[in-house]
Amino acid sequence: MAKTVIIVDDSKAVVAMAELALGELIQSGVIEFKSYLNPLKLLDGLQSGSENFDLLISDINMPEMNGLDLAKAIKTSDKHKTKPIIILTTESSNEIKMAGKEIGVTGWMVKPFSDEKLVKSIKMVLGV
Amino acid sequence: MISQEELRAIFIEEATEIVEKLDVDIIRFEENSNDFELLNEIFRGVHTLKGNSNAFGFTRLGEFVHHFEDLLDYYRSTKERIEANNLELFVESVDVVKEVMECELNSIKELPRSYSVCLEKIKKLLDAKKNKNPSLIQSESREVLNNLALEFDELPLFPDEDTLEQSIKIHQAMQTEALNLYKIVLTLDGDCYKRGFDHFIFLKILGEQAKSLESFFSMKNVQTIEDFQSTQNSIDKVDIVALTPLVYGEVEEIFEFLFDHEYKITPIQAPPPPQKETEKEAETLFKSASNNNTEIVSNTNINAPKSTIRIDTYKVDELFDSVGELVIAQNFIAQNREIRSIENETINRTIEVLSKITKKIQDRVMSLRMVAIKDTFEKMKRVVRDTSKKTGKEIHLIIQGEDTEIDKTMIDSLSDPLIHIIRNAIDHGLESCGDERVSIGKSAEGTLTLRAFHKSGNIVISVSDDGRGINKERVFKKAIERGIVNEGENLTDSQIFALIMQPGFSTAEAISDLSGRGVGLDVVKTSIEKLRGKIEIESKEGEGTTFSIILPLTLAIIDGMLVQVGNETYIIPTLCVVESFRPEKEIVHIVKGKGEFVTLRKECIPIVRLSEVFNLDIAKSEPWENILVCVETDSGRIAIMIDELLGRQQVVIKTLGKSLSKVKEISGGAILGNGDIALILNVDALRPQSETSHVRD
Repeated sequence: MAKTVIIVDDSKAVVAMAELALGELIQSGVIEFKSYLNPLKLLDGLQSGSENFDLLISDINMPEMNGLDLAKAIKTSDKHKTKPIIILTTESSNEIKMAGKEIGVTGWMVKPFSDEKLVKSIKMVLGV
Repeated sequence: MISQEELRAIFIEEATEIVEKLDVDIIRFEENSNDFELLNEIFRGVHTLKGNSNAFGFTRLGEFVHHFEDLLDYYRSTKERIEANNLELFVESVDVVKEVMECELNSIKELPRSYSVCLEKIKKLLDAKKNKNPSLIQSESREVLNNLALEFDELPLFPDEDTLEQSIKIHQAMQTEALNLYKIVLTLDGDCYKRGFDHFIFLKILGEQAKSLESFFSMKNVQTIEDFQSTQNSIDKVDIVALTPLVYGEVEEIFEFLFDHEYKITPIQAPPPPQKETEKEAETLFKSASNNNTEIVSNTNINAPKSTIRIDTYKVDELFDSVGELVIAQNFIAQNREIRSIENETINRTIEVLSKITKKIQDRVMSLRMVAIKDTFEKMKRVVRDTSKKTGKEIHLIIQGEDTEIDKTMIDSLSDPLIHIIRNAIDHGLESCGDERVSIGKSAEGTLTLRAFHKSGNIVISVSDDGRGINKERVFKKAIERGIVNEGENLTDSQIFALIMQPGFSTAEAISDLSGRGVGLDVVKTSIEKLRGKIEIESKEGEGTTFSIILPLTLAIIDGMLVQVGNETYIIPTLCVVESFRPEKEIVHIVKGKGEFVTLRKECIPIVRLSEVFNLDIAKSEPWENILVCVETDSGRIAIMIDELLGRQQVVIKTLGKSLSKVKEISGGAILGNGDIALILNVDALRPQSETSHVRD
């Protein structure tokens, strides 16, 4: 079964680049790719049960909601509390990492990242 | 399917058997209470009875045997001598088991009075024993778990260091040059599940790319089932021994998202060359390992000790040559139009498999010629030390990338140039004394860095010093004095730096014992060029100089750019290609008596027409209708005019034989995938035709 990977980023370009980078994984049916520009919409979907994921990749700075707050909100649900969430950021200080650990963030990826790195990280976290 | 009644009947039959056996065994044990084998036997019977009676709802019997088992286990694991009155309790307990069993079978609600009395006694005794020696509880349950693991043919759950060491030793024996051995310790924080990790993801990823992997889980914090929490990670440590082709960086990447304190990777070196003693030791290791039925031994052939054979390099070269032919033949099949037009899946798949295997063979044969540059670098340590003593300059030597592999034939010819460059760097590059350095804010000790690394299909070996750097004006002045360049010539920095490698150039004011005898760097340059490499110099005045020797991965194969002129295909070594472009008409000029030029970023580059160099019979066309490939040569850049770029390809170099070796413009030939022959250009010998005729005049 294909694993669902959701990316949330308010930049269309980042989403498009990610989709392009993951082309092979998507075409071979290893993952199903979904994207959201607005984190609140994703949260609605997850809370109502119409949406689900195996791995979430979220930007940190988004106008509607901060990526860490999104992760925190998602992790309150029993269904999603152990699911991996990777946060995209432009800088990763130790403080922010510790705060992320508290919430249950799986890892950090510093933007800009290479296609190869994105694929590797996804494969690693999903164990595919 | 078996019915509930039938199952119950089987249970009763088995339970009765156990109880009868218990009855006999306990009396035998009473006679010889030192027989721990017998105690074990009794323990096993009670253990089975416990599990079965709980499964069939005989909870009262289950409860009783549960405590009885604990008591037996206590004596079994401590090997404590059983006191006479307690032995009596054992016998009494077996009697109770018999009675309770009767009650359960006949659904009698009333239990004999002896049940509670005996149970109390057992609990009391157990409490007393445990209070007396609380540390025993731990070792006790450990042993139980380890025994349980053995029952399931597993490794002990609480591995002692010996087990781990043994695993490492066994893996060391399996290590080859292509396989690296790592000991990885995972100590994931309690919250790792929340973060979406579990240990098995890492084992899976590592396992997929490992030749052999063994892991040891330690759960010291979980002594009883109550200690176990499903939401928190209770595995305090996992030791992993992995034998994998992955290099350190790749292994580290797997654990990238973990915090530094959550993992530790230790590469383990191959053991020293086998001596008789260690061989023996390894043998016994294998033996004991196979007795334990570990899977390592079963899936590999480590019985063959790691050995090497010496092969004549000539034979390796021959093999290499044949593989080259194989690659060509395979390319021919893969690219043949007629074969490609066959739409047969089996044939296509076979061709695919063939090309994969060919590539593998090529890589492996290639690796036969490769050796680490370590030994050469080791030699350089000595050179640095000696030069440091002679010049009285204090030097801190940094060596990086000593594991980088390089063609064996190149290594032999690399030592001398490297020695020369290093001596030159210390003698000329570094300031004469510590005080001079300190006065300009540097450390008294000069630093010399020796590096080897891969860069876009080439190997780079660099020597950097943090000395005074090259004084461009002085070099230029000297070059004019020596008549190497003309006054007023406009040279780029790298062109000026390159001057110091021209024959007859030496800027050292005093000729020292070490370098500066005038037969300096030009010799280095020539010998590196013989290896089809080149030297680049970077320097910043006051900060230091870096000499980079850039070499192809191997001498037998060249990375080439395929170009077409008329009906001919030529190969330009990619190493010297700067860029290719289609010029605008405006930037092409004709200088009378000197020929055609193209202006590229303010630099005037002569255009070389291959059709003229090789007297090709093709219609003359203008540069702006063609493509120019700008290449770096000994005597500056030139722009080679071609019809078309065909692509980039690795080709096996073939020598052309004596008669053609006189043609300087060609350094060799190669057979292309389609069977055609292409000539490899020697760009250093290419000159614009009009220029040469000009010179002749």
